[in-house]
Amino acid sequence: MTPIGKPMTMSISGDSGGLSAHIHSPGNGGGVILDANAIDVLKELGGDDVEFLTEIIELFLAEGLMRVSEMHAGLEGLETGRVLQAAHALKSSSAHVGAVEFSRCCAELESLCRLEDQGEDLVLTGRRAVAMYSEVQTALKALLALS
Amino acid sequence: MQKRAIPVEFEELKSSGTLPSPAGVGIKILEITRTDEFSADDMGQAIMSDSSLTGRILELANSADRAGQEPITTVSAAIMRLGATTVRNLALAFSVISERDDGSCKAFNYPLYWSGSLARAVAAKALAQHVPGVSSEEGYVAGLLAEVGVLALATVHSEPYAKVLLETRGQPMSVVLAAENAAFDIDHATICYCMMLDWGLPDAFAGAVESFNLERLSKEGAAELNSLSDLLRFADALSSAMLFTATTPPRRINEVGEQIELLQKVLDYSDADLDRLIGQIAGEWSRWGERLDISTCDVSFSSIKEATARGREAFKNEVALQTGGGIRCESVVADTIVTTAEAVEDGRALGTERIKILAVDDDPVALRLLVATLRKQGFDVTFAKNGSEAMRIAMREGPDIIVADHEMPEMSGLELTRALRRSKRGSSMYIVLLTGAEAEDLLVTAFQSGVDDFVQKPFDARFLVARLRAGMRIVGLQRRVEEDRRTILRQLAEKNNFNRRLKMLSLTDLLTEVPNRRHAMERVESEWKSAARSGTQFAVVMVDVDHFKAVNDNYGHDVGDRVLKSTAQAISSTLRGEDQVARFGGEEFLIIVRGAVLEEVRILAERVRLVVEGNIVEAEGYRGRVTVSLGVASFDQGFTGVSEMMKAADEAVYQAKNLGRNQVRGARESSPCADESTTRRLSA
Repeated sequence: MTPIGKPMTMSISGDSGGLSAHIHSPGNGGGVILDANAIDVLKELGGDDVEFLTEIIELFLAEGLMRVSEMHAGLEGLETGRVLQAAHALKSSSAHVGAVEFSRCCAELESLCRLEDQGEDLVLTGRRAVAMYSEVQTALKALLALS
Repeated sequence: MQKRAIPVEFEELKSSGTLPSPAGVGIKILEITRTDEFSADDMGQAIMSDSSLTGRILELANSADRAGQEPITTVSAAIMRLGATTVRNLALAFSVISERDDGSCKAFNYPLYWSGSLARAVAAKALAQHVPGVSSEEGYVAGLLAEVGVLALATVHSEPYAKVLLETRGQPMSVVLAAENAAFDIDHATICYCMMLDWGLPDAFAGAVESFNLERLSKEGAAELNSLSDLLRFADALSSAMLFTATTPPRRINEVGEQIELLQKVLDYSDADLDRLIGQIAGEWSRWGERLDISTCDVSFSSIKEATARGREAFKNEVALQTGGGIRCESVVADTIVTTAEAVEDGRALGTERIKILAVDDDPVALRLLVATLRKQGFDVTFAKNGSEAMRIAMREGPDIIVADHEMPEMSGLELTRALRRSKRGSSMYIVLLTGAEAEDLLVTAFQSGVDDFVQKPFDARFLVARLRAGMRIVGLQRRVEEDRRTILRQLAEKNNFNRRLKMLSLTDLLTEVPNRRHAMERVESEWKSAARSGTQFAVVMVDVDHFKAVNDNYGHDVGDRVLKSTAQAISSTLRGEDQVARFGGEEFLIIVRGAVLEEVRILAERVRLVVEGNIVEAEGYRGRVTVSLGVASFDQGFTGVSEMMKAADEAVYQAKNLGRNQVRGARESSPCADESTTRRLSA
């Protein structure tokens, strides 16, 4: 069985139909936006339930939008607690849908929030996370359109 | 008032270790309040260690019927307002509810029991304002626990009690009580009384609840609302009406309808008043149901009224059918009422042998994946979106394994674990915590709190399932241990039951089925000691059947036996509950009377004489009456011991015989016969 949420590979090529066209991030140094293997794991888990992948992605998009808004508001008001909660939640759920780089960024942001002296790294990392989410969102919506 | 002795049958039930009881904080409160001089502060601290218990007590203290008073926000303020004893009793009652479990008595509907108890509690709370000296909280506790004796029998004697329930289904409560006594030598009314005393509730409170259990209905003409037991009777009628189902017997619906009409008369309520009252009770029932996770349903005065009318019509037809004439009315009753019955039945569907897992995560994506992963592995999965919801589901459904996220708002996975470990039901669940990679520092605290294992998030399905296999082994072992425990308890209960029956047989006269001489003498010795110690009065009445030899000689021993049996029944029927008749030998009976002096006992003896005189004995070839001669001796006459007292009673019987039979004589009474001391005992 393939692990859920842990990418087996960072390769951009995957076996997820038209997914490869959407997994590069032009705005983020060409990093991986979605891990194709994670998407395969979700499909495998859904089995005969063809709607399962769609359901998971839609759940993530609804939850993600709310969390990113929280994160954004927290960054604006320098409310570290709000940022931390949003980063913590997004770190885990984004990994499940294969948004590996975004998950790492959230983990980094969560760690920064826990430091006493966060400096400007917190704001910069936070802004990067918000921007990355937008790419993840686009990629997932495209995947939804294909499925 | 002197407390009654706790019967040995209750001690046996208690020794099974499975009686419904408070747990966790409830036990701590019981310990703190064991004596009358307990510290209210200590009790308040104990209650505050349980946030949900604190919330429930505050909600009750601030409820609508205390409107106008300053809202209170602390347990100590609740103690000030309601009194330490009331708060203690509330805490114990809530603690018993939180420990509720769907037991294995197949004929007992556990969810319906709790729905009914809660409905009775809120009805009693609402009606308490009309009862002098009873607070609404007292009514609430009494309503909630009023039938805990039934629950106790269903829990301890699940299989034989299922048989009792099935055999008495649809019958009046008096039949159920008699069947319980026949099967277990104790009934739910006595058990309820003993449990309440055991939990430290006042004797008067326990006695009132027992009185309700012994007589569920207020009597036409004597109906009043002056005591806690009156309150429970009317609250029970209202709660029963709120839970009418399609299977409620028309006889019961008729009873309830009559009780509600009586209540209207007692309170001088119009239909509009009753409508308001039922609306208030139904609303509060629903709110508390949500809070305590107990099923409720939407009811209104109009739906109850309609169902009652239809039920009473069906009852009338049933009666007409039994007495000849009338049309058979198969259609019953309450289909106009939305009842909890369906939900209750559904909720009872027990799982198969599949392992039950509760998945908990506030992240919807993680939760959906967790559920899908576990279901794919064949587990029976339920889920919760936060810790509080998980707690409720865990208490209701008793999963074998819980997989919970650690970081959740309001109630974290760790807090959930601690809360579960405090409860009896949650103490044996296997708990796996999902944590972030950075959570190593958490491990020691978590293991100390009762977590069994960890899996890192985002979880690897293969790894998670492997860890759960370890949990399944533990669950399997626990199931086997629990099964063994139940078997042992059942065998123990059967052995106790068998021993009790043997003992009872050794103390019972087989012909008349009343206690035998050995039993009678044990009781007299015990009463003597009690009287000598505490001054409680008692007396003995020796009873001898007149001319019994002639009955035997003229009609044979079968008729003689029938005369003895019928006389024993006639005597029993006229005695108070605390008095006892025994066959003392041949045609002699002994009555032991508690709490009465010579003159009072003479009156009782005269009553017995008249009842026997009027009792017609029927046997094959015989129809007649016998008379009895009675001799009374009482403790207050200053005898030096039991044998002197018994001898005096015996001599008084001789006197009665000598004076013409069919009369009562007191011991040491001067005799109208001058040569009494020389008279020979006449033939019986």
